[in-house]
Amino acid sequence: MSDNRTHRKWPFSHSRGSIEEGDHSIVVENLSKMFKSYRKSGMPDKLAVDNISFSVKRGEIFGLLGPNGAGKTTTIRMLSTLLIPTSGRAVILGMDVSGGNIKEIRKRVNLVSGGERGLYYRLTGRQNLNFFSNLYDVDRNKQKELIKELLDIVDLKDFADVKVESYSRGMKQRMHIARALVNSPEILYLDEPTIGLDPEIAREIRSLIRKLADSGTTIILTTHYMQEAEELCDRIMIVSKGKSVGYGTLEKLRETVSDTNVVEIITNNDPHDAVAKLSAERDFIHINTERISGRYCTRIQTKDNEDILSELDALFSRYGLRKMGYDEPTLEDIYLSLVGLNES
Amino acid sequence: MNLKAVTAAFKQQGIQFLADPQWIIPSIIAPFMFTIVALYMHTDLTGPVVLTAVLGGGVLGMWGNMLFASGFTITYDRYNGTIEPIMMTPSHMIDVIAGRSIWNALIGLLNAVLVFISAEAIFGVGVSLADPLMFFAMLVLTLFALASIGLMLAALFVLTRASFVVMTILQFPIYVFSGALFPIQQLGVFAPISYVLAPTWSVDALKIAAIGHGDTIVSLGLSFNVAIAFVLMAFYIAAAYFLFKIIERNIRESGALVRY
Amino acid sequence: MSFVTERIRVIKASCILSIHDLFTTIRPSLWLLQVVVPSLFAMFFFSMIALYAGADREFVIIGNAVQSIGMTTIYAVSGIPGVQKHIGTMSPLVAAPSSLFTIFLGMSIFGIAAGFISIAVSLFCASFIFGVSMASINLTSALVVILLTTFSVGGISMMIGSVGIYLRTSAIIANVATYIGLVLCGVNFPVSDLPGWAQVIAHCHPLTYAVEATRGAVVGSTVADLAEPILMMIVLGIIFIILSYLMFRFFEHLARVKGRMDTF
Repeated sequence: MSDNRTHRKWPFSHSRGSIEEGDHSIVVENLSKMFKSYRKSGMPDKLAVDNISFSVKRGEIFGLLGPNGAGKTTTIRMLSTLLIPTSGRAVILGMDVSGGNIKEIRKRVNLVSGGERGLYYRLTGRQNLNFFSNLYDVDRNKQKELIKELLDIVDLKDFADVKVESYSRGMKQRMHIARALVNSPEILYLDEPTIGLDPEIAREIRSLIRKLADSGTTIILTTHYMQEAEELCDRIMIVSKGKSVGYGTLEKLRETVSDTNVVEIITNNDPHDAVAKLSAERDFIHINTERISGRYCTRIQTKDNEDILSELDALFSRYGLRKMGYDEPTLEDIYLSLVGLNES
Repeated sequence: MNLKAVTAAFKQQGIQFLADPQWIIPSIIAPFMFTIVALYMHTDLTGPVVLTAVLGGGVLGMWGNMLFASGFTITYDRYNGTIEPIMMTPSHMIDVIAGRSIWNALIGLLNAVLVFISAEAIFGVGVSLADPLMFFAMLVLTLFALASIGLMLAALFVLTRASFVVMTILQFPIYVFSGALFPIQQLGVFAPISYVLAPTWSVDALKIAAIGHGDTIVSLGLSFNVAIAFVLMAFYIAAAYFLFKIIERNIRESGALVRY
Repeated sequence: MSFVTERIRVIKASCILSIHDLFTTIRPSLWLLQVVVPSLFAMFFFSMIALYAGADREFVIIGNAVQSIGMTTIYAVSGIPGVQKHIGTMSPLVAAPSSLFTIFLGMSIFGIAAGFISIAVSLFCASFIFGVSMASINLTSALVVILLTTFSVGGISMMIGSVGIYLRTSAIIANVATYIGLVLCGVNFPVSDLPGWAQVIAHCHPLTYAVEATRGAVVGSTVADLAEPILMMIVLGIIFIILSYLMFRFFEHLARVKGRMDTF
């Protein structure tokens, strides 16, 4: 996405208004969704979303984090009117998703789902945008200009007349975003928008998300990438097994795990045996090792207040210990801790 | 009804069709083959028999195309993963399907014309029209009769993931009840099934306009046929509307349509 | 020996997988409807035309009962590569060390068996619904003929399927093949009515012999009486299976060269 665009007039400005009591784009109260088991699937009924509540202010980027199957996508689909909640309430721009204002809500929101599907493969990018802009009843006189603008924003103007089937994954993902912007939505739901993309394109998409939020678009983002959430989200909800296990700003989430100690150990060699031994013997919330720049970084989360450094030092010294100490919990630590506690 | 959505869907289906027209081949080939078979089966190959077979081949072409196209229309969205994005829009799914059904019916008519022309080229059957203007008007009526029944069928196809199976199951029953290659009266007690199909009446009207007489038991003239076709079409559209309402509600309850 | 047992294992695994896959997509009852309804209505449709045209009704009904294999075996077997492409499993299958042909052979077994069921059920309907007399039927001949019909038509179906590895058009070819069978193979009127060139094509199609032999079995001909069409079905079946193997290898190679393994 070219830099000169930053100087252009941004076409999706929504007035932020004053943020006052009740000035929330999204208000969710005790929302639940139960899926009846699919006939003959042998699966029990599934409570996909279990009594969650949150609110999102206008122009805010709100993150929904959680493992696969935690209920993030179901939540987003309820908020975008694709699913009817089993119980509870979701009010979008002052309208209840279970009420009779579906059409009005749909005019003002849009959704981007991660992955490659969701566009007509045998049509060109421009034909796809044209079709969807008509379904959103975009004024015919403005359509051409809008589509040009959207293609420019997602940097696909050179591929506008190429069939989507020959797009790369990154191009398809950007086309999804362009498709979701045809109605200049006031609320944009982004369900893992950077999944499977290379770091550069993912970064471009993040910068686009930031710009949209800056221009007043309210955004709900689900992602598995903690750094992405940390970089973009004003507030976050962590869900696990359909329940909310943490909700607030990053600082507030940190407070919720204030009784958790995080130890970071850097070694030259793979401390696999030591980690296996600790996992078996100690009741840590979470322990994992990652290889970063040729070294091994092991992070341990524990509620134990006793000083365990000397014990760890003895255990890890034979792996070429380079550094060990307590660390401030990152979003990933918070996530692993909250999800780990809930799932155990 | 959102006309803009209907037009957009019509246009989209057209572009899609031109991008990949091969799937229409079976619906051209099948009726053509059936016409040839019917002609070979006739022991007494006189002019009217040949004409009936050729006209009948065209009617089969229309029906076959309509059946496959309405079955394919939502399956195509399943493959592309575009059901959700469509449902997200303020337009109704029925508007989108209606636009596509009109395109499909148009192709069905072209299909019929193609069968006539090829049959004329091969068997030398001249189709001279008794009332060309009326014939054209009845052609338009047939277009909408097919589109409306296609719309209702498409709604039924939304309900199944096995739309190709359902298409295969329905193909021959539809050919039987279209009364294309033999008079409907031959169906005896089953003939009323043909009479609840709007295209039966519009095609009969088409025959009246083309050769001066139709096939149906009740021959009260062309305007009667037109009236019945309209009543049936209204019924299909209403049924499709309610079906889509229910379907949309069910999808929003269970999220089931997204599976493919 | 391990070569053979390994192949048998792959065939068995592919066959079981294809059956599981089929019946998770459609219910067995719907599958049975798919086998029975089209052939029943095709018999009805053409018998109605026969009635109108003054043709031999029993001739037409038995012909269409045998032709019903087109709508089961040809469609099912030739569609296999397309289905794999749709669900994205073509690449992993090609990447597996087992031969792709063996895998598809396994996946085709059920479709071929379905052809047997289809003809048997259709002949049953011909008798009980359409009143075709089966009083003098020679059951041994009928059984041999139906088995050989499924074998030889299975060969053609696999040959059409092989095209689907590379092109999108195998469904179209399957349709055309089915309808060619309808016109050329003596299903609704004698092959001798056709122009000379068409008769030549008809005699390269196993369905022509299948229809002829079935009519013979229905009126009581023994296997020995039907030696000629039976022999022709065996020969043509073997030729088509060899051809399908060669075409599989060719199109698999082409797909790997052009990178069209998952294009659909």
